[in-house]
Amino acid sequence: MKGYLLVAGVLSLGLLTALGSPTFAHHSNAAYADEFTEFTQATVTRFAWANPHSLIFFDATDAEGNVVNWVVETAAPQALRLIGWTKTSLMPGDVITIRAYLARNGNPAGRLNKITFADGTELHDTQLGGDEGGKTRYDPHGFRN
Amino acid sequence: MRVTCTGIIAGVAGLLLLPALAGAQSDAPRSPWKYYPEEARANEGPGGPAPVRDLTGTWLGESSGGGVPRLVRPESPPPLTPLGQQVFEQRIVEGPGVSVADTNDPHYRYCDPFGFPRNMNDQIRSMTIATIPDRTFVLLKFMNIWREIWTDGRDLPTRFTGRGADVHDPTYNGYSVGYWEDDYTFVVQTTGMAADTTWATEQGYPHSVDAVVTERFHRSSKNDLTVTTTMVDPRLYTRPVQMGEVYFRWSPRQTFFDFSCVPSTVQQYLEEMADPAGTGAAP
Repeated sequence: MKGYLLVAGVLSLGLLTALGSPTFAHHSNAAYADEFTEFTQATVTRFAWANPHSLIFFDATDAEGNVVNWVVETAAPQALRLIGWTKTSLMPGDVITIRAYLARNGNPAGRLNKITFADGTELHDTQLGGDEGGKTRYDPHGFRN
Repeated sequence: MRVTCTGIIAGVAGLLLLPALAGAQSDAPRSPWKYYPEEARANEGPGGPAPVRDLTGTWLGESSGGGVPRLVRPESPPPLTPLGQQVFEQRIVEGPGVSVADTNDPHYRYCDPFGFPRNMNDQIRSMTIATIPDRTFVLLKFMNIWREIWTDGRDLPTRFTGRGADVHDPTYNGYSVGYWEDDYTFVVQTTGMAADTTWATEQGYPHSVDAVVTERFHRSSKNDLTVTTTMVDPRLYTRPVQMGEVYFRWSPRQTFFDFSCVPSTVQQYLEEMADPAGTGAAP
């Protein structure tokens, strides 16, 4: 975590909301921290558009100058399609800013919050993609139940 | 003054044109093969009276993202017999404090089928009901499942163990028969569910092959369907178990995109993602 631009997400009532709202959820997010971390200038190495979760692999350079390959999970394709994703939303070589809730065990893994492209457009996770941080949901169409 | 008037006129003209522009956008060609968010949204309100003896159509469940109320979970704790308790205690259930890396849930770890009744109380995304003269089919989006419910008046089979030509093979979805209890309530009974690798609920409740599950599909309006389920399984439970209520909303335009579980893909997911992400414990 050290060396990356750490942006403290807000641990708030939003966390309770997220835990209590299983829409789109395939499994819980107990493995991940309650605050997100932001990586700038991350380079996509692979994008797996797959069930049960799509995976984003990317390289990021840490404070010591080492390139670390991270993997971040997001929702299944059928859920991502509804909020603007496609199979080709990410391609190897894309340079992005990515926010994720990282694994508590320190491994280079996490759950997506959102991706920001150079032109400012964004792609969010469904389950933890809320801009408020604190593991809140992303719900652009008012689908919340 | 002239500038001000021109500005007002331009502003009014702009306001008048906005709906036209919006209309032009909505008139853009739409592919019938694309998935539009509004097609996965639950209808609002009851939508009128329920049609008589008709469940046909596509329905949204709680995990569809379509704004459907959350289900009522099975009763807890379950009224287990000593044998049921023994089986239940072997199960490590994924949830708060227990990640995918910890669980021994055969679906999460191996892509094993949920089987019935779990596929009607877990991951309730979307459902289609289709009827032909002697059967009703329940099609479930999550894992691309179909259930076959016979409505020709036959009895349920009773033998699934032992030797003999009348012994039936257990199946993941069991054997189902259905009938209309009244004009708006379709009752389904199911038995013979394979029990070796399936859980009855995501909470790890067990079931035996001899369990008999009763579902009541009650359509209270055009848009509202509630499925209430009970399970009788004397080997594992001391009394009938309330398996909860699941809510559906009619949504005729939704599309069922693939949601299968591919074993090789899930193994890759576990190796590359879930297991490295760990259990939530600090290093």
